[in-house]
Amino acid sequence: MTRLLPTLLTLLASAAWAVVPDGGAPDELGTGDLAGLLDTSVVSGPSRAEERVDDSPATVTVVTSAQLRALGLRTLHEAINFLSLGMVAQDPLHAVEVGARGVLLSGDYGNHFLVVVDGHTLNDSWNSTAYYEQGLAMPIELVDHLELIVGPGSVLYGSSAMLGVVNVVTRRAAEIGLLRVTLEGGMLPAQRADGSLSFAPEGFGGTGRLSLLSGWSTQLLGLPFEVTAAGEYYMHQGQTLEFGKQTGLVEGDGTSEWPQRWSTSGPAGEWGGETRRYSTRTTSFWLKARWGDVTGFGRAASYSRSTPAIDGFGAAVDFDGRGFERDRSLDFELRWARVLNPHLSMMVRGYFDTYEYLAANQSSSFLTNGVGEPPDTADLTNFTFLQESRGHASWGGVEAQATIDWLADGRFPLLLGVDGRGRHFGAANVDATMEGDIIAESNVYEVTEWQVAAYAQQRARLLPSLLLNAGRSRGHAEQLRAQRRAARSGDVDRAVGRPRQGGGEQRVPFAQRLRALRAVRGLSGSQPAADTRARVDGRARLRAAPRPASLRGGGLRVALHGADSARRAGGRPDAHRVPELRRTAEPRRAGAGGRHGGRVELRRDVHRLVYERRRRRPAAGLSVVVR
Amino acid sequence: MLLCALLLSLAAAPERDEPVVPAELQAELLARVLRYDRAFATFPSPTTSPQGALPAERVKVLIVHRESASSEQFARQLSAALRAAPTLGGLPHDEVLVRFTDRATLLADVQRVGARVVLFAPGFAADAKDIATTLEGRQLITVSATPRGVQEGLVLGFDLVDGKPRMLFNLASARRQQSDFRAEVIKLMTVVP
Repeated sequence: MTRLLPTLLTLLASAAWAVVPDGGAPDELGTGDLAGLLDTSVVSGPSRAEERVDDSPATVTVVTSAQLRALGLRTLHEAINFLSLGMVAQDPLHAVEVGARGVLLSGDYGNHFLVVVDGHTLNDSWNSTAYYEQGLAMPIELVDHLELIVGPGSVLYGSSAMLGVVNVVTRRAAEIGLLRVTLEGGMLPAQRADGSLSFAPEGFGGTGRLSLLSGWSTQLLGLPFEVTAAGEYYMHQGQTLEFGKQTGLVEGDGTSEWPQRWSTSGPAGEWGGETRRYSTRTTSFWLKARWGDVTGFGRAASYSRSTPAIDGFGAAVDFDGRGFERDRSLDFELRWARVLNPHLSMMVRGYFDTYEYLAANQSSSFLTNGVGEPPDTADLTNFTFLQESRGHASWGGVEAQATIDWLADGRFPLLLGVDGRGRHFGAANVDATMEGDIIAESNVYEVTEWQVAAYAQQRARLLPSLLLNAGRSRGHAEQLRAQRRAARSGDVDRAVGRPRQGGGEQRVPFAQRLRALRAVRGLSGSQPAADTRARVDGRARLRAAPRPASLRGGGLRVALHGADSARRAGGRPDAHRVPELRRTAEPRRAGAGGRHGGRVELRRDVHRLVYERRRRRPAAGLSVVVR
Repeated sequence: MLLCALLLSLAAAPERDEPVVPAELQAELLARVLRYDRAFATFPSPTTSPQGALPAERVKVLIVHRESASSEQFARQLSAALRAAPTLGGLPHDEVLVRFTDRATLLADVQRVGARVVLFAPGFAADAKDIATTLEGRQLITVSATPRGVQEGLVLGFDLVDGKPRMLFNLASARRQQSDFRAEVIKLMTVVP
């Protein structure tokens, strides 16, 4: 803080000199200032209320539908990579991963970002996975604009908003029109092992997409009524790819993780041949209706895919096997919002989301990937078996939100909210013979829990160019209690929610125990969400029914905006605690990273200073904005 | 038949009658855009006397709202945002908040206050056409907080497209209200026929 104080004072001084826009008449009337004002984006994500983008307490990039059209962007991750400030996405072919401010957690399935569509969270209820590619199952034509919000948003959104929030605002019915059809496609020739192209018809792959949108609006019983319906089918079938023959890839030789056989019928020890395993299929239906103060939302989506590669977690699959992953989800929401009087507005929403995951493949690497005892007759050097991973989760809840406008003029609104939900989730991994006989089941669990959280945010426009935003949240989540206990006892694996490595009790040094406890606390302290990452294995069910655990978060966030033209960026990213959380179980790296961080961004039109001190999750925040 | 009737009714679907641009931004846009109205600029301005400059005339802004809570809330927000702006179209200004009862009363309020700008909070879409007729010929600018009000005959309004504000401008109504916006600023607006 001592090092940041001079900068803070400097920015405050510059703010004092900031020119207040007064609309005065200049000598030479140009329209530049008016055009600039018309180019100001209005965002609703950072404070969960409409405000100018430069009044918001976070760094926000707004991507408009016009930009999406002009640049030919079709997915969120393309928009993030092309146009965002401070965010980056990478596509490892199975699930796009997104990071911000230098932190991208490989293998997190994007679950440190929250994807919100018209106020409804689309991260799944099982593992909080968020999709940014076609897996989002959303016609891009439905998007009015995207708000890419960098920085922790946990105070208002829960802990999946750890690195940021992607707020998708859809078009209104009147803007869509009665019918909007998009049809597009393309073809790819086959590729031989030497890299040359083959134009044989049977080797071609292709991509096709059909989306239908329809919007209607009218008056119904004296109230405005509008309904938007959308559907999309996306299909990508990869072209034929030929991989050169390789031999000698024997299980356990320590030189390769490739499967020892190319296919279930191929000769053992030989890898290579033709494959058409790269495919993606997405089907989705959206329905949104609004009648007066009531808004209803529904979505059904299916996303299946397979990739011609060993996945990032080392699962070796046969290239011409029937391996695939599939996500299916159903989402519903009913929302009521009304201004009750000039001082009080209310919003209540009920929601229900259900999600199912299935990954199935054929593997010939039993020694590496199999679980349990194979059949006595199995020759493990020449044994192909089925692997299936299933997961499912559902949650339903109610969120109530009140906005108290103390002076009834929009300058001092207080946002109060409470969100409670019940959640059930489970999983099972199954190994089976090709005939369907189960070899082993592992990682089997079924968990039911309750989560509840409350949050508050006070905004204040103290002067026309000085704004203050302070927030605080507190949450309760049952499963975190077991994890906290595990952390105290030094059971690091359970504490961070991963399968135990090896057998027997784990006893670890006190310092590592402390870090584990801190990591668990880092998982909590915000609105309930699957993102609490409260994964537990079967052993947790043996415990007595867990009671809600109360875990607090704390922090300080100061953002200062001004009007100057300097440009500087630096400091420590405010997500620096994330890698530490991941490193908890690895003593050699633990302890890296400070407990506080500061960041200064001085752009042409915005000053923003962020200082954060976070022992846990940023469940509290303070923002001061000066324009 | 039912489908045809539905489609016909939908084809005539009204525009939105709810504010989509925050009041603070509407106020700032209004404060700036009025500088480009040549008729507004000829409003009595500071005059110079042998003793020096006299105090400028103050622009009276009438903010009209419905009885509904949402309309009154937005009107109050607009009023607070305008009060925070030192000048409106380059001139000092005062705001008066009134509740709409009928057109005659509105006209009386306009005359009593000497309003140069009349802002309509949300909720006037159904009456906007009649209100425009009532105020026709008077040298004032009517402003709608919602997109639909401009469609119905108010001079200026605000919409949100692609997350950015758009100014809507009813050219015919502007002529009737004796507004004379400069061409270069009209190019920045969406002109409603």
